[in-house]
Amino acid sequence: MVVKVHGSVRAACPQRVLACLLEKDVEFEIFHVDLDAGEHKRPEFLLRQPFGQIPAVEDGDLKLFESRAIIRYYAAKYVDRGPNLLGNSLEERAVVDQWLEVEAHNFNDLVKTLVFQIVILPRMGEHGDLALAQKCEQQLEKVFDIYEQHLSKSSYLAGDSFTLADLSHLPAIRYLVNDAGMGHLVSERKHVNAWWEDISNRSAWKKLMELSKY
Amino acid sequence: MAIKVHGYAMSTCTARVLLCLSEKGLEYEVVPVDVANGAHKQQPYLSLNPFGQIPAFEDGDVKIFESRAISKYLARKYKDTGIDLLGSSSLTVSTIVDTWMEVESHQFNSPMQAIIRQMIVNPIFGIATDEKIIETELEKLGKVLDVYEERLSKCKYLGGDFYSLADLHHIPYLVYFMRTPKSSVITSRPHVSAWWNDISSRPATVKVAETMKV
Repeated sequence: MVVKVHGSVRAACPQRVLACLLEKDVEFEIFHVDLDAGEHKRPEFLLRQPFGQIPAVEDGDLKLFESRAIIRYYAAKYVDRGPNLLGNSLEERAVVDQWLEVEAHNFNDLVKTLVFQIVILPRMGEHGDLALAQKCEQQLEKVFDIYEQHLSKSSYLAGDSFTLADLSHLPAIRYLVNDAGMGHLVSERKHVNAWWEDISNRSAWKKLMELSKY
Repeated sequence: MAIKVHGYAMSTCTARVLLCLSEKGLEYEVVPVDVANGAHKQQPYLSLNPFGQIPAFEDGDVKIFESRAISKYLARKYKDTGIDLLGSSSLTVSTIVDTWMEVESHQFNSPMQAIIRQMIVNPIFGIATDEKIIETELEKLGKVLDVYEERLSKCKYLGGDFYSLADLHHIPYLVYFMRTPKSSVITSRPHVSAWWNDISSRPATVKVAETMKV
């Protein structure tokens, strides 16, 4: 059964799901959702995702939304296939969940706001709020300092292996480094830089970059 | 005592963990953190939570932070104690619970946090209440609750027909919100209101809510 992913291949949350499906070698088909035309706010789409956001996933009869719940589903469903993305014990799983929460609450909103102001709004022909973007950048410096300290003791966020905790960061960091001119946040930190080089060179992520045709 | 929660009862994120512990009937110790004097931003607290936020959690040698990761750890480790808060009967069932935990985290939390800050937190510190922010955030919250109203017209709880962490995670902010003049946002929606009456009258909720005094 081919997994249907409704969303844009270049949008962060669908990318989170696609990266996981690629890591687990799960066959999928992307159904593009035209955000500019407001397709995600139309009644037909709201049946898939009641908050009008992407992605929405259809796997046979199962309908899913919220990218971090979706990646946890596939990581558990295919736990014996490909890399183990969830940790090997209850405690390791808790640390994976911990860093997924960090990504969701201490990292993601800062990146989203910054990217919206200096990438998305200008693309739409509007002026972004540079002061707000700068504030986000300053806060991200502090967050990345904490990551730097942590990654100086641990190869990956949740321990010695790549897990969902690392995967979940890939789309947002790509935006920072490639689109927002914020690569210095990564490159100025030795361990964050090594970690980013490692996780962004995984074959699953590279395959997604090819699919996204940047 | 093996289980320690570093934080204080008034804090919504601490309460989230205490609710889970109470549902499970587990013994625990609350280790107060002197937030008023900035203890959470210094050592030794930072070694428990490098982001300087509360709560932090210890279960013997296991140390975790992020309240939603802590509650999941407890629900998993003590799955057979008290009720199953994760819907562990099947991966599909637990994924639906996970989805609505993500909804709380990404749709509900942000407007609710902003409203509670304006209406309850700011007055404590003598900061002026911004009515414009309250108005804007109440509008956002209203749209989210419309989706909840639809969901809860189809099933008794957010994760399905059983009480789970998907419901529990909402309780801390709702305890405060329902004490404000804006509580009609909840009571005007029949299914959301019935859901709140149900989950707020659970013994574990009553016990923890009593300690949440501003």
